[in-house]
Amino acid sequence: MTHRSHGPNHAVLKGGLAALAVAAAFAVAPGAQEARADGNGLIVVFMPPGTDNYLAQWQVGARDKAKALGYDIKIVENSRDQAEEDSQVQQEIASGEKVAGYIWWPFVNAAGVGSLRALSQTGVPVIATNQFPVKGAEKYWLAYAGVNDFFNAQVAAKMLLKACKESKTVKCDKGLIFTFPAGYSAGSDRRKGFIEAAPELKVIDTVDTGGFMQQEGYKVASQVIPAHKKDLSWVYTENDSLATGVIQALKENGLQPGKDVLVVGGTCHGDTTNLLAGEMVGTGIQAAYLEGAQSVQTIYKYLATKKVEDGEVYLPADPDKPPPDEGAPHKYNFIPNPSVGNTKEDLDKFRLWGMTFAQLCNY
Amino acid sequence: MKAMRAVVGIFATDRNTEGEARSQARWRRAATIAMLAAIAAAIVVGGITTPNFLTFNNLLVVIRNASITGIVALGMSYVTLSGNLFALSAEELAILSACVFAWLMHAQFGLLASLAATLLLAAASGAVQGGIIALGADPIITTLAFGALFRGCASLVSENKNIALGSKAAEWLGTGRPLGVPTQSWAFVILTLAAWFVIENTRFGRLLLLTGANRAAATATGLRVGEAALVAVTLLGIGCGLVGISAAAQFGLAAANLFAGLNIDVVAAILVGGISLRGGQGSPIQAALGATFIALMQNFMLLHDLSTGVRMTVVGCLVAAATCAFHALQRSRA
Repeated sequence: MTHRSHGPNHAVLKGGLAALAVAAAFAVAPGAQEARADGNGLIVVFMPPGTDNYLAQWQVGARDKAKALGYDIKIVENSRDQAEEDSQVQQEIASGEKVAGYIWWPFVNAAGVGSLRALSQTGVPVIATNQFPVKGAEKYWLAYAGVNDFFNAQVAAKMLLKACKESKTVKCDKGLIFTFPAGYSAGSDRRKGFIEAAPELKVIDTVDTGGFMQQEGYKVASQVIPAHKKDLSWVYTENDSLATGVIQALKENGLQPGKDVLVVGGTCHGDTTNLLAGEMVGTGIQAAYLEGAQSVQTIYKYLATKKVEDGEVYLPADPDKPPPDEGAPHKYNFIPNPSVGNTKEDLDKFRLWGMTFAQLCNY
Repeated sequence: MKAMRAVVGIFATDRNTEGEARSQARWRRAATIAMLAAIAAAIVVGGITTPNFLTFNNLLVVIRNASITGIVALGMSYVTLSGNLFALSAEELAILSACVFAWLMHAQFGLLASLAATLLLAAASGAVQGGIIALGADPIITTLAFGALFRGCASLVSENKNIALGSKAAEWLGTGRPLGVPTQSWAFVILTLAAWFVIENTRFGRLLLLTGANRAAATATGLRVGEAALVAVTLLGIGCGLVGISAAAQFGLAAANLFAGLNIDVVAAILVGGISLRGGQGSPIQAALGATFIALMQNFMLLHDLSTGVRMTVVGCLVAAATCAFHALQRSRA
């Protein structure tokens, strides 16, 4: 029989561990402890964790815009767990807190519809963001603000087709698509958008990486590429982080990205090494900061006008000015998603809403 | 010497214990042979049914993909063998190590200083957890709390952005291929052999097995049982530090969301390898083979174009089946 001794240190240990757990909880979820100040009211955001670079930058944009518009903001993060997010929604509603608007970013879009319905039943306006809402749930949200994943993929497909046309070494024919995890609707939307925009490209296989980062991209690509390397002329990876991992796997298999195979991720991130080396044909500016800011702006516009215009609108890709805060939001409000080339000059001269490439992609 | 006398003392106090020790050694050999047979069977089935599976390059890729999980699983096997179940902060400590290493490199502290500081931090992080567990705290609760702390610290160090190393000095650590084999695979093989040697041939190895097998008897005979937990979790910390450095060096950057699912993968490797959760029975070799078997199955399923959901389901079934099988075998031996 095994036995664990229990000495007098136990009480001290328990106290220490409890303090450690509390300290850790504060360190992990700083967004949950926002200071409250008098203003236009409180916006509550439900979303996956800000330890993800994109989501962290989204939060910065949302906080900056909320401050500018006189709102307090509370960000409730889940640890990539829809059940946890559902529970957070129940707790928030039960708290009876007075809320001006909710922003809803589900981890698993279809599975989160019940929580979305519960939020809508409070009578507080609900703005959906980032994950394009599932069909049939339209009555539970007021407006969508954020990225259009179909459009994002179409921009990537156009960049790739242009590069295929201009390439002197690659004749684009067959290729691979590496996707976000199954169930993450942005991934399937991007896959569909890409295929729709580039029907002339033959897809050998669509490979689920199970993640979003370079490590997951490399792990899967290093296993799949050897089987297809003779036929491979292009690769689409749904974002540039996955592309970084895939590029390394291509090189290890004797294929030079940009020369033997054309690679596009389509969503910029903080590291431009592969881009400037010509190993990606270009990238797309899906700016997390702007998406966060626009989500808050959409609530503000609705509360100011009490109206939602039908249809969709792509906010202008003005290099200098952000879109005005006046007017009613549309049902679908998409951030711009312009493409950028792969030279230093392309990156240096790029501007969107008065922000530089480095500011928009530094996450 | 005192510890050695205590070990001898344990054997002397119970005439059945010597037989039990031999039985445990037989168990380790049997479990290792069973895992090798399972790997051989998977290779044969994969080779027959899957184009591009049975190639030298693909098998190298499998070992490469097993190495990150495997290196951490070696450290975790010490924790499990010492009778302390699992340390559920391994993933988070690997993330923190990657971020700290990238931050130090970015701040131009130089390769050697960054390596030393990161490994020191990882070892110290393991030692603190091991020390608390040695004092009697629950290993699961302790490491869960520290896991949250490490993830929070990684988030603060990285400011939730990619940290670029800004130097190619560390690139070889992540992408080098001495004799055509990736550095991570070399590290995995060498560390497996070292971990096996420690268990089979050193005082610490015997201390670990005896403490895990019967903590009360080990305590009664004067063995420093706390030392087993302290050193085991410290070694796990160093393993986490190594994989963190390797990942940051491989891509030239690090972020706070690396290593998704590493804790689960490592626990799966331990369970599939047949290491007893009660402690005292098993070997790091089994953990390494468990990680390799899972990587082999993942590769097989990936080449058959199965989605993440299916791959996770199959690995879950494997863990459940292995746990049931080893449990049944242990009961039949009792």
